[in-house]
Amino acid sequence: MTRGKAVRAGLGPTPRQLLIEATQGIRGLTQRALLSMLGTAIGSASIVALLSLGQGAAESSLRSFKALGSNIGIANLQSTVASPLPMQFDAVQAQSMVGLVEVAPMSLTSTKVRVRGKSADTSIIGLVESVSKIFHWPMAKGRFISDLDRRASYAVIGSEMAMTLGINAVGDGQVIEINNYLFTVIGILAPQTSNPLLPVSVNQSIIIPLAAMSRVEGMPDVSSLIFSSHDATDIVATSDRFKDYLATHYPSRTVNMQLPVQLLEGMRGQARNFSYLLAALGGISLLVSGIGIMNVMLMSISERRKEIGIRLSIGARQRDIRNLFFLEAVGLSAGGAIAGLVLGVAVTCAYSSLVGWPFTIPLTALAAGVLAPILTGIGFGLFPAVKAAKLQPLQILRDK
Amino acid sequence: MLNLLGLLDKPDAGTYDFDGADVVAASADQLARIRNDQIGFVFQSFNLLPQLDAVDNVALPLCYRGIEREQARGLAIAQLERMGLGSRASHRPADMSGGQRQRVAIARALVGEPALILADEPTGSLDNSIATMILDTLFDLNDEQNVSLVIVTHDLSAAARCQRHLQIEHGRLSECHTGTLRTA
Repeated sequence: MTRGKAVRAGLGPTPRQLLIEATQGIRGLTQRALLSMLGTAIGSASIVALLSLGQGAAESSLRSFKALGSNIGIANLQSTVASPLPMQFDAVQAQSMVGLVEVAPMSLTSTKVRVRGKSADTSIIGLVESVSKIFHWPMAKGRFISDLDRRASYAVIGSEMAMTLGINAVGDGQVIEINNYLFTVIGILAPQTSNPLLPVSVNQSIIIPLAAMSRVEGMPDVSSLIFSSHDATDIVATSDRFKDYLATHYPSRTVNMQLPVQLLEGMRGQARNFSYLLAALGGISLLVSGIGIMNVMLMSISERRKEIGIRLSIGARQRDIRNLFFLEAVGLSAGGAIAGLVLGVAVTCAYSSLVGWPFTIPLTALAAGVLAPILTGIGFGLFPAVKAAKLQPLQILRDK
Repeated sequence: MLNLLGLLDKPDAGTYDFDGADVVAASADQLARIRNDQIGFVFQSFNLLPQLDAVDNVALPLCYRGIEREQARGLAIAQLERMGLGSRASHRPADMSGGQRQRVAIARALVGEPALILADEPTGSLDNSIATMILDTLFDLNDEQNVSLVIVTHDLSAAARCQRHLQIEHGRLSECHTGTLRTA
């Protein structure tokens, strides 16, 4: 023979050879492998989608709070006596003593309004001009109420209420009847995003000057005080001072402060817990898919006993057999993980565009969606692989 | 017995020196290495891997020697060509006849250039003319390449071509002469 002996280059197969062999092995598994991959893919997809959607849901609700501004608060007042005297709130005094930037007392009632035969039940909000410096409500038509309006019977209508009542113009001729009083429509608000601080929807309400509330209701009372501080850093301290001020000056009321900042934190915590819960669900589905992988590998090993025997007889070491089957298991779960990742992102994209949530894929979701199934593959693939390596060639080659 | 010779099993008692080394005391990894370097197996049922084509089947022992895939496949193709199977190289075992499969199996046994070929009923599942051809191949190797050949067989005509004959009768091993075997 002319050529030299094929020289041994290493103790065992190179990593690349192992990879090629494992790929061939996976292809050989066919339908069963595909099914177990599908299981992993669903587990991985649910982790990615649930974590991402959880985040998207949280963000969409946080967004409405963030839109309010982080330097805003609202003090809700409740009278402790049955029929208190109407509250005379001194905005200037409160501003200077507490250090509020803006403060706007608000009064609320609900009643029936009528316009040219159309009628609707709605909320009437008594407000002062300064609220527009806190909330920045854009107008669709006309102007907002002004302190110069005093007790004038002017009304500003929310966008949806304007549509309900069929009002699309402002000015002298446009009047609505509120509790037998005629109010002139001086403005129509542009549609607003919902404001969780206010007890009513601005879009479906009618805003009139606070001083004019006595025309609608016998003894109008201030139900809430909307206020703002300089910025987000001092809103909590300002809110505390304001609460003390209110408690001292208006002992007949109990005060309940609401800050978007605090609500935000609470919601964030909730969202976090929620996404942990969802991730745990994904984890359970992965556990199931891991058992599926183990099942497939064990079946494949018992089917390929002969192959293992052949490989051992031509010089494979036990560890070569173990590595081969281990890589196959990991390959299965990695394939499933990648498919699941694509599926999860697609589901998230479709669902968030369907319900109008912001489309976000947090990095943690991606990492969890890929690593968790691969770790499952490693965990559940090791046992069958070690079992395969322990087979005795003799035993196998005998059963023909 | 072939399992013992092929280091697939360890004896319950006694000693076995393979090429001067005591293999009873050797570790599983050492035995695997000796199998890979020194021994080629040929089985009655061919024992090829069905999912691999002929080239990959033949290249498999080289793979466990750490030889890169391209080089191993090159050597495997050369070996297949020597066995007259160059044209069937990319076929899978299922697409080949029994004789072709056995020749692939022999190519696999030979590709690592072992010192010893252990053949367990190599012609047991082949018809006569092909069996003769396979035996010719094996004995040619024995003659030309100084490869030791151990054949376990029930086929007396195959046994007749061997230089030494060992017979197992009622669990006892005995060496017998060529002449007696012929008339047996």
